[in-house]
Amino acid sequence: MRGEMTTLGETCQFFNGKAHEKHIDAEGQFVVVNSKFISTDGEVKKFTSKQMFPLVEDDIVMVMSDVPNGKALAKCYLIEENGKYSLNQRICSIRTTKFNIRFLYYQLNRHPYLLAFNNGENQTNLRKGDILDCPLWKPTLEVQKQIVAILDQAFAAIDQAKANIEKNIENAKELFQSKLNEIFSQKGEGWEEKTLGEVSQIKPNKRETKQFLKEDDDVSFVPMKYLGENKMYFNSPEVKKFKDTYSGYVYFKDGDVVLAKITPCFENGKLGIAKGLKNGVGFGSSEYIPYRVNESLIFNEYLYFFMNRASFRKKGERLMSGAVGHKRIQPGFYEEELIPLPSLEEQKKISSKIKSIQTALDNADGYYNQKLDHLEELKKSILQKAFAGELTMSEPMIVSDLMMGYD
Amino acid sequence: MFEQTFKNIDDILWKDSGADSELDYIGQTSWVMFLRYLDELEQEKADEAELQGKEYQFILDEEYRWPNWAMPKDADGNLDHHKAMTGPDLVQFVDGKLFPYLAGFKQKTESAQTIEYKIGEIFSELKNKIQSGYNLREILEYADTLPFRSSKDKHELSHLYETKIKNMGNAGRNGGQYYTPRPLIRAMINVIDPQIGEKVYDGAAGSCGFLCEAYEYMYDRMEKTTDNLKALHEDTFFGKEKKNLAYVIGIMNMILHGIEAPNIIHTNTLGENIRDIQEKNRYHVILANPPFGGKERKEVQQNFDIKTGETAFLFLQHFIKSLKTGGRAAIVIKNTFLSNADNASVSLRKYLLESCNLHTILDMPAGTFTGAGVKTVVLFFTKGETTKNIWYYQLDAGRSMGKTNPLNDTDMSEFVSIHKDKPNTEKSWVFNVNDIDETSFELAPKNPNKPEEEALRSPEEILEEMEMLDEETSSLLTNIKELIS
Repeated sequence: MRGEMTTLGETCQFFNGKAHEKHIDAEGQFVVVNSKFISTDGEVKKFTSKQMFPLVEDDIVMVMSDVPNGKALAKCYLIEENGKYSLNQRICSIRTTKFNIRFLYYQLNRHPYLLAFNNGENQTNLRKGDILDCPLWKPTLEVQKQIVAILDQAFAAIDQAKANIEKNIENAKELFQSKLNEIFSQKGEGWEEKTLGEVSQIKPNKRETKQFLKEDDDVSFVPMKYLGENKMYFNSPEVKKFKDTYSGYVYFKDGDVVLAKITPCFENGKLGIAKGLKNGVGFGSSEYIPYRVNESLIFNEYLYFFMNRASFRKKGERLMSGAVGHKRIQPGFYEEELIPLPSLEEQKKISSKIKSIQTALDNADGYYNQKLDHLEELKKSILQKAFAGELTMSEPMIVSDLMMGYD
Repeated sequence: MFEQTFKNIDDILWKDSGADSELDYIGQTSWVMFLRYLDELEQEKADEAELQGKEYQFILDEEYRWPNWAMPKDADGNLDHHKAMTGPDLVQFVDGKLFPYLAGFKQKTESAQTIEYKIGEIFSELKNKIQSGYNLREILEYADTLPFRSSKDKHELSHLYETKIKNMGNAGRNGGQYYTPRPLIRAMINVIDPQIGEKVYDGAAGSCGFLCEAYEYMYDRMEKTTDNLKALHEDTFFGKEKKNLAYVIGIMNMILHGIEAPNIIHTNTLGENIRDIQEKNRYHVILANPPFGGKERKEVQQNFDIKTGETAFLFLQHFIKSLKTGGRAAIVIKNTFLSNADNASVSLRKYLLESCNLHTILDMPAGTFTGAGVKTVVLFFTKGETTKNIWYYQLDAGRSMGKTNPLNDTDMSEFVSIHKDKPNTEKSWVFNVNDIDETSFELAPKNPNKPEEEALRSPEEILEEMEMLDEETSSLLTNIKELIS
């Protein structure tokens, strides 16, 4: 490996920051370089009017303290302007003329030697001595510049790739909603429009339970937390005696589509079809609206998909009414909203189709997220190879092996 | 200058075991101030009579006049501590003699326009709540420093009084019902534009906010002739209020705004049979914010054609009947009036649209009325023609309104400036009544001009972008490969 191994202490100057807590001033003209600033890459700033430790261009600042397994430990930031920053305590500043600064920044940022001081149990506090002992690879300035050029380009490309993937993750969600809206605004042959109240019995009267349940029978008790978001079926592990749940709770049966009416549950999409309830009967929050479908008119999964849409929720939310903090959707909406109704057979086909689209998009989502993880790993491994001296003209094989499987 | 006096009185009331909330503070401050005002009024009239060489007939018997029971003074004009009652004596006098005497006026007079009527009404309904005579003594002394002579002083007092009324909302749910935000009132008056010579009526007067603001509006714009001034003070403003506390406050508020003998009757407006309303009981201008949500009993409902338990709806019928032909009204009501599907609501909307020209509906955002969760609208209508077009305007203050961030005049300024033209804008549109649903007569605001919430792209468009991005990502990765090898 070309170039020498050295340590930080032999090549750089080290400075400790000063405590700024008592001098934080939102109107101040200096940015306080603290842990949050560095960990958010300069997004979150606190200000001061007392520049207790001035920083200059090309200073590398690094976080020295963090919680166990924290993401900020040994994270670095490159100061790009004079007269703008002041160094906080527990952050250090590294100055050198012996390295290409960007090269040093890449190498020092989250350096494994320093990360090793984290024991996963207690707060990590790097000491000056620890940092000075940090091993560094110092090739010629020429090689340093080459490596910086490669890293800059590679990382820019990775960041762009990540941005594309993140956009596609959002696109997939939008695609699903758009397709759903397309399906539910069809006006095909033989399609009718009916209100939700016409196709189902809303809030069936619990008196009917007395005909088939006895006092001591078990029923499922379903608090709001068990009504899922984007989960078609719901149930609850809690079981109570019929006599203890009859008063004061809303009643529903297996197969009923249950919608939460109060904010923010409604907007968050709490909705589901009851399945597997004890004795087929459930009781739950008074904020539930159960829909018992008229099976000759509508298929319950079709109703579920109709209601499980962003545009349905947006509309209901706009028409919500009530005191602040207790807004609820109104009967004018949850009873009168029109649903397009094809034949039962067509409804079943549609539900099936929606499920397959959902599965396909879930797969795409999983794939994209996996790609994101891979790209992060790629960054790390490129850095590792770079500072093991392997990222140069003479060692192509190992790195391109790395690239297989990342498409 | 008087702010401190009011504050001092409040502090004493706070100490006293009898006063419980902001409602009590204003109630008790009001009766004391009223008697003080009455004394100044009588003094002034006595002085005038003397100048003219006549005798003035005092309304109150000597024993009950302020300088005798409240603030007896010695030769130097200072409080005579020997004569002045205090402690249990004072409270006993007030509770046992003063109040019953004043309440007795109710029996003596017929006409609601006289000051005697008001004295009787106020003191037969209100109770002295101040339990410590020593506290009362202090309060009387503070009240004595308040001048009621010059209109400038009264003006300043009226502002302070208004602030107290506003703070009644702090007393809890019921406190706020007597207070309509003044910026809203001013905007409504601006649109209605009452002129001198017209009669202005509020059948749910509350703290008389509408009448007081209308007074200011008309006073500023009229020629200050003697006839005009007389008409303005005596023959322009009419109100009715059922609740005792509100009645007292309303009277006091009007007095402070310079109207000496406000024509406010202490009665239940809904107790009148609507069929008995004749031309002489009708008005040119009606401004009101009737109470909503009350549940009126069957006997009261019988007085109306469209029977409903909802108080505000009965009031609306009363107002429609009480307008002269060509008369103009602006009424605040719950927004559910426009959309409720029950028979009474539908009939009432139909009746309004047929008997009046409902030319404007102002949709107010939540938080307009601090303390109340309701969303309200203001109906502007003119009696005598049927409605053809309704101009809707949705007020958007650009922020969440509440107690610390209430409605202000700037929020209302756009509405006030454009309402005459009734233009189509992002927040306003014209609705042709012919398009109304003939079964439901639904009038809920549906803004056709609101920029569409970003329409979702079609699935095909989105897929195209996804493919394009995936391709780009692929080539980026190829690049990286080359870079690193």
